[in-house]
Amino acid sequence: MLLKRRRWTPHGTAVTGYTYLAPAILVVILVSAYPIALTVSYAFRETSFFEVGPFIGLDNFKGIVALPAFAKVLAATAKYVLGSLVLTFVIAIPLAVVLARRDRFTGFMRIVVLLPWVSSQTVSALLWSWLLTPNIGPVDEAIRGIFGSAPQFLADPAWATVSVVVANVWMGYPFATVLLLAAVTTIPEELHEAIAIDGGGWFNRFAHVTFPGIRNTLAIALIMQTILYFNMVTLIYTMTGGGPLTSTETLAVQIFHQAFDYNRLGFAAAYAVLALLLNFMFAATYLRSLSSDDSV
Amino acid sequence: MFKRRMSIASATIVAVLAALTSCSSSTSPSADGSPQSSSGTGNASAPDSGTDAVTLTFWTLIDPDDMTSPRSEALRNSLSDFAKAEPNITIKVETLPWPQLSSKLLQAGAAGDTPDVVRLLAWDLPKHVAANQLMDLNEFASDEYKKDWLLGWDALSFDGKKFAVPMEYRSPVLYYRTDYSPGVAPTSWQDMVEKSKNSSDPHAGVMQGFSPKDQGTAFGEPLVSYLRDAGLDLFDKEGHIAFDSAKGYEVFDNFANLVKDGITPEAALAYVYEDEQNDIVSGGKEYSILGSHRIDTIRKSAEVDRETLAVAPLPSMFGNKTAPAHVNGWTYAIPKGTDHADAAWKFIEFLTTAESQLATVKLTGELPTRTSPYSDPWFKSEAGADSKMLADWFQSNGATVDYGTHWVEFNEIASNAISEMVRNGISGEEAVKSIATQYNAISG
Repeated sequence: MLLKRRRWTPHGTAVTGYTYLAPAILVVILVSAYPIALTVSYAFRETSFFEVGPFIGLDNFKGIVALPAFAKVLAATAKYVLGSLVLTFVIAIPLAVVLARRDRFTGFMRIVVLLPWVSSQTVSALLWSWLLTPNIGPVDEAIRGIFGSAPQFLADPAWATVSVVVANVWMGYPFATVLLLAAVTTIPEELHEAIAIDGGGWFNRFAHVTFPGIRNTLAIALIMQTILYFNMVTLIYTMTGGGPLTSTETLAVQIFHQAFDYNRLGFAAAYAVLALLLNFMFAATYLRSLSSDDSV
Repeated sequence: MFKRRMSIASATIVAVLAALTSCSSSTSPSADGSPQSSSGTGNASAPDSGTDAVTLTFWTLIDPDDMTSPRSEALRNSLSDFAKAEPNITIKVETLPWPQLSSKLLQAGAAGDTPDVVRLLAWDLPKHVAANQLMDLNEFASDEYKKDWLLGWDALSFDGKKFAVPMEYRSPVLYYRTDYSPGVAPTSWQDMVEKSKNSSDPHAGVMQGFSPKDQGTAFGEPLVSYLRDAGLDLFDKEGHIAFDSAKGYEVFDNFANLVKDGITPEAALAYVYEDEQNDIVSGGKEYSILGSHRIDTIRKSAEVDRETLAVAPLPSMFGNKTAPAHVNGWTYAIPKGTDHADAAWKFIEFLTTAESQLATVKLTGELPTRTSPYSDPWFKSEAGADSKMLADWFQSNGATVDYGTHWVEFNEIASNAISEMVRNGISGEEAVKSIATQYNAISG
């Protein structure tokens, strides 16, 4: 019997491909594109509780910019995101390098490092709130034991910012470490040996071998963590609620407050559009940094 | 081959679409306490009749399946008794966390998918009234039903309309330890402060939370009592701040001075209701200000009796007397989206009879909102003595408040003002003026 061989045209292949992709595309439209479009729409409309009214142009945006808290929200966001990023990668990069070594403790250490990552934001927030509670929390007690007194970690605005950053970093550094670890392990050992033969120490190895080797992954991890931290609500809301004195009220927390505590859907949507634009900026920065790299 | 692949792809798409568009099913406890799946809202399209079977969706914070909670037991008993009294009406209980009940109802109203009966806090009512979401219960309540209310039927009315029936009353009260020094209730706020300053007991002091978290209720609740103590309203007819006066400044100075003078720990600036309760349970301060609805829970958790951890009305800031009670609490309401308003009213009526409230207070300590239960001998017993004392206080010196539609924001602004006074040294006058500026801009 002759086997009939069907010729697949590029058009036919594309149609089949899109057909198989259709369910996934539908889900993305339903859970992402449609809600985003609605939110953008609400940002330009008058709202009363959860009822949506007529088009009012930029009034909601003017309203949020006029709020005394607006500049403070942006400042709190910058402190939280930048502080978390710096601390996360200061920990993750050397940790990834250390964990890339093959010795008998590496396997166990890799598991230990990953443990904070499996906690939810709520659990982490409650855990750190307890750790830092005055007179009861172990961290507070330890600091009192050493220094005689302890800061008000959750009641003092400056220390509250530090506290949420530390809790966030504790939760987030494992993910960055794992990404960077994967990159470090792909660096050929011969390159390290070559540096060693030339008399280079650990710094030269890191600067001329390790860092160039993980740069692309570092950029990806940086952007992913930036967007994650920028949009994070649960940890901050559970630990401090955005206080004290709105010192930890980031843009994401403000969106939650406006929508669900104050029932001002229009303002929440306007803030959300602002956040969306900033997220696009971060993504554009990532794409530009990747495309400008000749090695990609 | 192509046809086969297209068939598989088409079947996949249809299956996914069917899964996405099928009614979502949720598991919620039913009237007999066993979980059951429900589809949609259960609202029948046919109007109520005396014999048609009806299923009502009831939103509450209480989980009737919780075997450890007295309030759950009380709800189970009520559901069971109601099922016997009205066999044609089934109650489908949906449990939500208390901070979400109001916002979920607002969303449900906008989506046209509301429950039939909902439990709401008194301070959330103005929002739902403004959103035109609730039914006027005057249309259902008989003249007989409108009698026998502790604060009168017209309490919690809005322009003569009654949108919710109060199911329990509560107020911030003073908790004090009789086994610490001085071990007695103060005669006034100033007496309380002096006793705290002069006591050498390591537990000397006052616990009062000031966190804006959790809707700022830790400070917002007693603040109302003390503004009323100063003879001031919260808001005027335009919905603007009404306590921008010398006495208003004094109220804020008195609260801030608790922290500034070390009577209340600085950490309390970040304390919410739960933190205050934990402090009392762990044997914290001589005096604490917290809601009366937590009395039984705290005594059980702390393993102390009422002789050791006593309660009293709040001491006044303006003389040797008690401050007014800020009477608030949970209510029952019927959202306008219901198709079973008559059945919903029967359920609310049943839950708010004098007999039902008497049974509830014996189990949970939730104070009845009817007057007649208080003549029961139980209130003369040791178990009921605190409840009777509080009810007398509510009736003689208590009032409900019009909270406005921005109550949560008000609490947060006021809590932050206290933090500003403590941390940045602003005065009570500056704090109140700042509150007025911020809040009046929001309220319009």
